[in-house]
Amino acid sequence: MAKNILIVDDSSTMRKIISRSLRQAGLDFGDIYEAGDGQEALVVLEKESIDIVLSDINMPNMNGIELLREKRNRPAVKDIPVLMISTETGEDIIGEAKSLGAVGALKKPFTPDAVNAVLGPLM
Amino acid sequence: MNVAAENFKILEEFVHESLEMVQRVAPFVRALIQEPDREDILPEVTKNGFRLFHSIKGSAGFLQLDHLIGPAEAMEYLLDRVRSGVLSLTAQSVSLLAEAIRFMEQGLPLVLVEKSDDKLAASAGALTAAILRSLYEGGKDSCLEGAVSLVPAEMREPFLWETDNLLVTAEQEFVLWDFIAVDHQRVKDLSRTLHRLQQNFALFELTDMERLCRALESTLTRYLQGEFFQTEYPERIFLRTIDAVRSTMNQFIEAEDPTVTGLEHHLDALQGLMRQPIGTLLVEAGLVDPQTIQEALEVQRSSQETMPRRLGEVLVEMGQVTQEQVHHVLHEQHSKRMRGEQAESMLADIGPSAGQSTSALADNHKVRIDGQKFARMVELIEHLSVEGASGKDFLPQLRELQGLAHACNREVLSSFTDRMKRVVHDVAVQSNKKVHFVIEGMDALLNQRDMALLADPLLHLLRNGVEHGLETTEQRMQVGKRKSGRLTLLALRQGDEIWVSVEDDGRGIDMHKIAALAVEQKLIPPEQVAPYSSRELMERLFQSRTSTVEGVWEEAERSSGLAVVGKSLQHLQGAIEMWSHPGKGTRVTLKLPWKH
Repeated sequence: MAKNILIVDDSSTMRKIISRSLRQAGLDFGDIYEAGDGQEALVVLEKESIDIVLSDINMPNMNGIELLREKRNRPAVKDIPVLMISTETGEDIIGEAKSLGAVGALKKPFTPDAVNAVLGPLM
Repeated sequence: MNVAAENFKILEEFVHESLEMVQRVAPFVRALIQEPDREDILPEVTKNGFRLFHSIKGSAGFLQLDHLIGPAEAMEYLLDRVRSGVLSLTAQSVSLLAEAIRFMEQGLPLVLVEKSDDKLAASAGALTAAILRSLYEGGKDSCLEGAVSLVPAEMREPFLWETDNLLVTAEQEFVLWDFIAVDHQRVKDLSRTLHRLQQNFALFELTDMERLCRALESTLTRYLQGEFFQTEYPERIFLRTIDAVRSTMNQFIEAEDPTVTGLEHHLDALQGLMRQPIGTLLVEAGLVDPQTIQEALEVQRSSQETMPRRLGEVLVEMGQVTQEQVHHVLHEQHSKRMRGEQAESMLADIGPSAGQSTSALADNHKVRIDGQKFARMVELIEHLSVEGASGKDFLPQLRELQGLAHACNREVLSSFTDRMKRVVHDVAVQSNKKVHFVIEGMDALLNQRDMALLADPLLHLLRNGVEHGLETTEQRMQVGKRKSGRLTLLALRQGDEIWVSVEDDGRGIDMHKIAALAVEQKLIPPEQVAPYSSRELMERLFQSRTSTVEGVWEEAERSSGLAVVGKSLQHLQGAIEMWSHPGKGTRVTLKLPWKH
């Protein structure tokens, strides 16, 4: 079954760019949902049936790292895989995200090929 | 960079969203400028400012709006430091913040109209430089002395590291110019690499190097716009320019001297590469505007005469320019080209191998082979596919086919080795060394794919051998060696592997010295070093690449240039072996499975 994807980023432009990259990568997915920060993401996660989360790190209210932390405590959503999307070059923060359960990272700006390489295995 | 048509909608959204964010931050910044003591709004300014530039940077990256990225990234960096308490928001940084906001306020609508950020290039460069300089200088007089004094080093290290990486990338692409020139996307990527270099140099006000990179970039831009090179081998000039940048960087690191020797010659040589249409020349000379050129082109097109008139004539007739002005700009172009040629001959002499045409080894695996041979091969294959089913003996045809395939491979191979010779020659000339270059056993590389895959690592090893392995003539004579250094490229088939080695008889790497350094830095305990010979030590270090010996490995990698090679070898599923003896030389062997 095609997977539903949640894109979490505070910039609506960036959310559009990401969802277009997904289409360009030629991946077969279901619906795309959007959230502007970690808190919104949690609401969507609990309400909709999401299969994969793509999340920015730097966001207001609840950032990507806090989202990972919070998500771990919620049994209903804790197993949904999260990929971090960020311009952060620091290994630290990506490392921290991974230790909190993020399954991978994509560095902005990315190409359809990069999306394929990282997201493909999850689909 | 121009925004691709498919991105226009996203561009629109991006500009609107960013301007909205600008409107949210701007009042706070203005308030802070009027009342610098308003500490209550500092967090608001920092947080929203960071968010603004962070998100501009991200989206601009996708839209390839490079000129927006620079200031956004610099400001994001500055505000991130403030946010995390490393820096305080000084009056200077507030005014830079205001300037950056103004830049976005005025620049974003322009980008939306123009679908390009090219017009922002100059102001973006200046602003980025100002922001980063303030970070660089901030270390000296900020209130958070201890933490901030790290900033200069922090800026310098990544700068040197990134610049070096970008230079290596640019150089490798230019070495492969023959092959990449047809691939406009790849040339565009190369042009972006040069742009990054140029921006990096602008940050530290290394204007000479900035100018060289800008000239390179604009040459590529013109090439992409359809202009032609006046010479068959533009890459000679490109590579020489890159080398000039590289040696200036070394000079800068060692002596803080960023002056490019022979800058004008290099610029002339680049300028002389292209022939420009008269319209462009007149616009550049400020004599007419682009709109007039368009009109003149219309007149020229609609002309009913059998012999189309020259554009210059049309413009003269339209009363836009005088005959003298047309002659003048054409004359200027001609003399520039002459100067370019002179500059070229002044800057270096190029060996005979450089003139030969080359054809193999690009990523796209395109090769040039003899048309007759190819036709005969097709004929034979046709014959085999028709006759094959009839059960006849077709061994003779297969033999002939095999022979032809090998002949084609040899042609490809010889252009491959020509390229190697050329690079060695060029590097030897640049580093002022005498090199006797020997190539042996290359027949072992019978398949063209091996060559394509090996091109990058081999070029790197050869370059490295000349630059770092071999000594200068004086140094060699002092230690009683022959004047010219010997560099050998050897390939041989060993069982189901191909071994390709690059060997020099130069200064070698002193493993004991490196190991001693590692012991001193407590990276490895002394007992792991003492009992072993240099060779054993090297083997141990290279085989057991554990974290404890990481520092040692890195040192050895730097000395041998293996870091870059290792990267390329990942695709090849190959292994690297290394031998080196102080004073005697270094040999790096790549071992690859020969049937992939």
